[in-house]
Amino acid sequence: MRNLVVIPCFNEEKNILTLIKRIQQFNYDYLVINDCSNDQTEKLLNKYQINHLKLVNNMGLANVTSIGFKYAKDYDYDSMIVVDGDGQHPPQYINQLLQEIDHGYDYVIGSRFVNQKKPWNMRMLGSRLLCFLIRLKTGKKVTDPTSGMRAFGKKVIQDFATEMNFIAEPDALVYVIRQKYQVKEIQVQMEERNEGQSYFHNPFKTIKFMFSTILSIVIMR
Amino acid sequence: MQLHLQLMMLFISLSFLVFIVYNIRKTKLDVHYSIVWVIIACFLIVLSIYPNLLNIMANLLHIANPVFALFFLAIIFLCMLSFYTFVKVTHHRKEIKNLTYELARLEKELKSRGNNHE
Repeated sequence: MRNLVVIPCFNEEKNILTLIKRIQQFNYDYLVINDCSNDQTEKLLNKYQINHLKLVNNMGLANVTSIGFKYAKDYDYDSMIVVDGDGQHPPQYINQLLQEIDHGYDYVIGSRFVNQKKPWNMRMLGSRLLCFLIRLKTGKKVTDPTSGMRAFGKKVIQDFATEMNFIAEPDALVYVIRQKYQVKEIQVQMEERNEGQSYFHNPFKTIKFMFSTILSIVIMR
Repeated sequence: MQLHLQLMMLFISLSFLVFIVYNIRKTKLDVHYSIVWVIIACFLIVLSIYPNLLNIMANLLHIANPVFALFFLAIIFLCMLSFYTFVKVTHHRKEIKNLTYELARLEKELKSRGNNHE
């Protein structure tokens, strides 16, 4: 099994090196995709000879992930796992997720709430709404639809590398369930981001995200 | 008054056509996308010469007021045009993504080859 760890990163000069060091400890093939950062990220990646792609346009997370799929397909990897560049996804869980791919699952999610209670705040209210919609659409119960830490088997890589029309994780999840791929969730403990600001800091972006994601789920084939 | 209005319409639509042709010649507008704009301009010219066309259209559509017929058709047409551009933008985004990926991949390959030669 050849595994690839894909690390999308945009302006992560403060987090990226610690993350890469932790991933290198486990000896995985990894690929940082630098989404046209305008800080020192590119310099750091070159200086420490970190395996990376340098994008000349800022493409956004969804497109960067899809570029990861293209790379995994072109270099014939059997599985791929996405780990955020901001250090929220602890690398010690990578192995567990990849093992499930080994066991024949196609799409494995690192979930925060498999055996832990989901707190009651605004963000988790959104998460609950998405869970409910996914359950309505697919009949499957999921606990953490917005988790970005996901591992993919070869079939999903082939599928996503050619045609991908998703807003984000929740609608991609609906797609894989409806395509009868084997989906599994695994408990992980995520970390608070060390530096930088979350995309969902902006309430307008959050509202836009929720609306587009819900629409995408509703109209999904 | 009617003639005055008609002449003004004719002048505007003629200058619109000239403007489009000028932009095509300066390659500001791709000739592939020019056809629809030339048709619009020609339609406007015809309409300003034969305003009665509007009445015929309104009758065909069973719309009492010819102006409403014009608005109705114009809005439908503009919606279609706008949708078409959204489809094109989507297509271009996909192409840009593929190009960005290929460029990054080639640069990486080139760099790793350079390192091997050293």
